[in-house]
Amino acid sequence: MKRPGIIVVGGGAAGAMCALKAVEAGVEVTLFSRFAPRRSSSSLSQSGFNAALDSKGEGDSPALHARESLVCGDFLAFESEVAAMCEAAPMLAGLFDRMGVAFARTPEGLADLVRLPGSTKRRSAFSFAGAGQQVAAALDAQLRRLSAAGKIRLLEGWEFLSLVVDDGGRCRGVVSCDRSNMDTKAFPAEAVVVASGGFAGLWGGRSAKPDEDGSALGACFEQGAILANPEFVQISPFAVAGADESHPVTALMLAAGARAEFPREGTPWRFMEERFPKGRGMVPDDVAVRALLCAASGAGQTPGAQPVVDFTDVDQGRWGACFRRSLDLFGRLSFDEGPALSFKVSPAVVRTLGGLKVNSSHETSVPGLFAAGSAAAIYHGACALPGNELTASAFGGLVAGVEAARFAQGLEAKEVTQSLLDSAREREEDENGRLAGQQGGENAHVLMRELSGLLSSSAFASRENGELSRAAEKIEELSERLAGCELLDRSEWANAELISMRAIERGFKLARAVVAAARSRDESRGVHYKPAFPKRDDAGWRALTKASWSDGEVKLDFSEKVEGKDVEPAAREY
Amino acid sequence: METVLVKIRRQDDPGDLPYWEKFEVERREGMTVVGLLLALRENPVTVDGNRTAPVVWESSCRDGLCGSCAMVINGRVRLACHTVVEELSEPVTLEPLSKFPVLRDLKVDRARMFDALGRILAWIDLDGIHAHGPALRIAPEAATRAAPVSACIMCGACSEACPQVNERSAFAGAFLFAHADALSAHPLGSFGDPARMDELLGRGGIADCAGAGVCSEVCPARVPLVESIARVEGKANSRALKRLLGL
Repeated sequence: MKRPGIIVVGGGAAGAMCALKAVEAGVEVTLFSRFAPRRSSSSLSQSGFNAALDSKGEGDSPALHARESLVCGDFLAFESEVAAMCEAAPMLAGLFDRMGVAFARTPEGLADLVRLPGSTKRRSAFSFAGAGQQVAAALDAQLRRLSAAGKIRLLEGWEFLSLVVDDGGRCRGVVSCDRSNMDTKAFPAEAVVVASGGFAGLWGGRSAKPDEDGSALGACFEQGAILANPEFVQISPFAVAGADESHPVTALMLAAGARAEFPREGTPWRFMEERFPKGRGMVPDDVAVRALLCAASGAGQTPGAQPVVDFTDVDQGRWGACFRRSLDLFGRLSFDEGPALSFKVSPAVVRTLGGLKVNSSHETSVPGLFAAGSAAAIYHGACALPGNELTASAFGGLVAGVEAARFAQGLEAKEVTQSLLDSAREREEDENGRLAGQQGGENAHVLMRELSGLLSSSAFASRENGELSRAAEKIEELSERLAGCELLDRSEWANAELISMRAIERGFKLARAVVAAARSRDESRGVHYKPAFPKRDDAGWRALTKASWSDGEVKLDFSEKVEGKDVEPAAREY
Repeated sequence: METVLVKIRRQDDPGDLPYWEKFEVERREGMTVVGLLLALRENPVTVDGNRTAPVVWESSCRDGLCGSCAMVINGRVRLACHTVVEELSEPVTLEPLSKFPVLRDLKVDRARMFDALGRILAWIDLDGIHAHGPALRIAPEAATRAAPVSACIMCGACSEACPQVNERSAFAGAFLFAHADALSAHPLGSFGDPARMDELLGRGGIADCAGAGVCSEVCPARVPLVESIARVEGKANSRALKRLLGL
């Protein structure tokens, strides 16, 4: 009997690394992706790839990298896992170098490093072509190399619908749908790795990643996988807003000399540098967001004052070509008269930090199901260290690839029965039929926009229990109205509406977990800031939020404490 | 309510004939073409009052990096996410890329681009996903040259604009040369140069480029394609010469 091997869902940095490593370990690999892998959200992590290469002789080390990651994560990430990631990071940087990522170089030809906010050393390998886009493209090329050699099955244009779970509760495959001909099929597997990205798209207009709708994540949650830390999101303090999306001023731009300031008569007020002289104004996102809100409402401030990010100090000779497209867009979105290199900014959600709960082997709470990248909550804690996003995805993918292959190889070869596959597929076809039959004149996109509005006001940079409770009630109401959504497209070919409706239903479940968790956590940690509980409470809340879905309700559990032996919680000073 | 008039060229499936539909969408400050298409999903009713299926298009990152939303906007190929509606004359016309098979409405199948990359072996033949030896050294000059040509987002704009890409030609577009050029600038990538140049000397390769240069003008990632073409042509010619001399 030919063994089915493993299935990887998603082809970004995490999914691709996982697939490459699992092929090497000798298992059959099938990778499903919505689109060409290189178009994944990994390409949005443009700032750099953190690795303690210390090519500048500053005394950087994996241990210091780990410490600064844990401090930035406001002591909510697990110490040994973060240490393992930081230990492996220099190897991964070397690997991407060999893979053809166009890192900027030092005069001696080594990967050049830049100091990003939250780090004390120059630690981020960067690219003038964008680190994320470069990593995603290099991994895409490797996947295609293996696919051409017949070593991997690459299924592009497929939508993940659900897991195949057997009577013993073990994950035995996936049900997926071809986004063109809408064929729904069940695929057997000995292990499944979900690397489908996060769910920042639920925050809608405030986010830059609409494809991060959490559809696959929500499906796993619905099918019993535990979600960790859903209330924690990364908020970029400085993003240039268009009508429908925000474009973040990246950490790399700040490192290159872009400065946030409040316009004033005479000299502008560079509040970040004034507040954080030690870090020269370059601090983690959550700290910056709080400083920004404080400065915006502070004494002597005109009400409604909006900060700008000014690029005049950026060395155009070095960075001009790298930022030209972004600056060009920022300029076209800023209509009022102002200095040419100065743009109004406001905070925006750029990624979620919560995801499926995994252990150090990247196993979720469902046997046979693994998760990596933004789909898993493991390395970032309550705030991601800028530049760690790619490192965490690549490292997590690597670990998940090794472990999923080991899990598959350790199993006794046991065939997935055809009846199990058939019933899993039929359930999804019934689900499609149910959506097609719905009536009531509601539009799912309109409800989604309302949901985004609720999350953006209640689960954003400052959170208040009364408002969160009202948001929870309103989400219940909207969820009921979802049942009245009509399917606007009846076509059996490339029906994007059907796929969106399914994603939206799942997104609502994730949103309920976000709001419930934010409501329960009565402390301030990372970007989760409650004015009523302004301090971090390590005795009470240095614990993982575990959310599970049962009988149509979100259940929360805060019993798993986070502990460390080398890095003790302390005040974060920048 | 101020509105924008939009004309969209639609097609229900690859075998059907295209048709036009007109819509009126509320105009909002800072709205991009993607924003316009998103708004349309909430109320897919034409100017004649007909309820129709929402328009199908592709868009992933909305930040000019994924390349999936390239389409023909007011007659010119652009990324929908980086095109601000205020800057367009009305009616705004949206059409799918014409050099690729239409899957539905504005969504096209770019498989042809990836197939072409596969033919020129546009990858580095890694021995394995593991730690390996001392760090790679690349001359800063080579890295400076590689960065802009590595920025290709596989959107297909260069193929769309190129007169040489058509039904009678095997040529996929100028992006091929950017990928070959970036690999040449990399110490491990250059190992594949002979095989890659052999492929580029054949059908659908360097000889198919007529030097029109429009690719560089339309590239949303601002890849200096004309420079890449010149460098790859030089490399391919020297490879041809070597083959001729039996070297």
